[in-house]
Amino acid sequence: MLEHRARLGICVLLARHQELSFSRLKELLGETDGNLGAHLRKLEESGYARVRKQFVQRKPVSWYSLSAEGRKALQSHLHAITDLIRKSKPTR
Amino acid sequence: MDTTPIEGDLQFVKEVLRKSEGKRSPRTIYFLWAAIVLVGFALVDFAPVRVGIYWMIAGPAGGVISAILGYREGQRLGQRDADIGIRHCLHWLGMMGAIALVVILGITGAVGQVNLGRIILVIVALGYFLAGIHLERPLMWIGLLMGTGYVAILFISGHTWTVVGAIIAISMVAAAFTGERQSGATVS
Repeated sequence: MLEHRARLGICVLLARHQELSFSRLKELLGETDGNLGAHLRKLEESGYARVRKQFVQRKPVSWYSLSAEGRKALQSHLHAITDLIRKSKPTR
Repeated sequence: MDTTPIEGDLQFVKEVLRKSEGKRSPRTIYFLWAAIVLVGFALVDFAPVRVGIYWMIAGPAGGVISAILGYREGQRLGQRDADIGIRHCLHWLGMMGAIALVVILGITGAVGQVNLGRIILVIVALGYFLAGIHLERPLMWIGLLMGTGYVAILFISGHTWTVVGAIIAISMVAAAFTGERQSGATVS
């Protein structure tokens, strides 16, 4: 799930910030509406991300946050990546 | 195993994260405090009896308005950082608490009115300096400026408080225009 850089980026951003809107995620990640929507749907379906709909100045805003499950998955993924990089580097 | 793609991904994530953390307080907060400081400092020279009541109202009211402006900026930008909001609140409430404790010295007569203002200025200068280290860098320079203003007030007579207040207000307006602010969009 987190092998894709966009999904990894979304999860890291959501782990750092309490809530991010769709438009903010789009701005930060530089993804198109369609791609970002698809990534977020996958994260929602796997229970990693939560969405909350709200109207701000009469405009619909989708706020995304990371679930406890998503946080746990992100931590284990980052540990795995770190281990992989460490093992692949030649030791002096 | 070739880890170059993974390292590339991590570099991408690092960049995205750095971009998201470049958020600064809205300019209106800097303008608000520039106005509050300008009036509050000038009062020491022109209407000293009103200084206490002015700061008792303007200080907390400015804090509440700043919190509202910060929250609205988060809504506009599409980024909610409760941790940063709490950090700001604790920092400024801590400073206000220290000022309240020093005011007791003034009420009990342990410190005269003239020196009370000076002590409060030192606390505020320290508060801004530390805010610059932990929260937003431009505030550090404003804190240093306040510290310099304190020294000026000790040794220069005349309308020193007014002049120092004007310099601090100008520096706050200047600080509002430094650094990157993020455009953001509210349509999702």
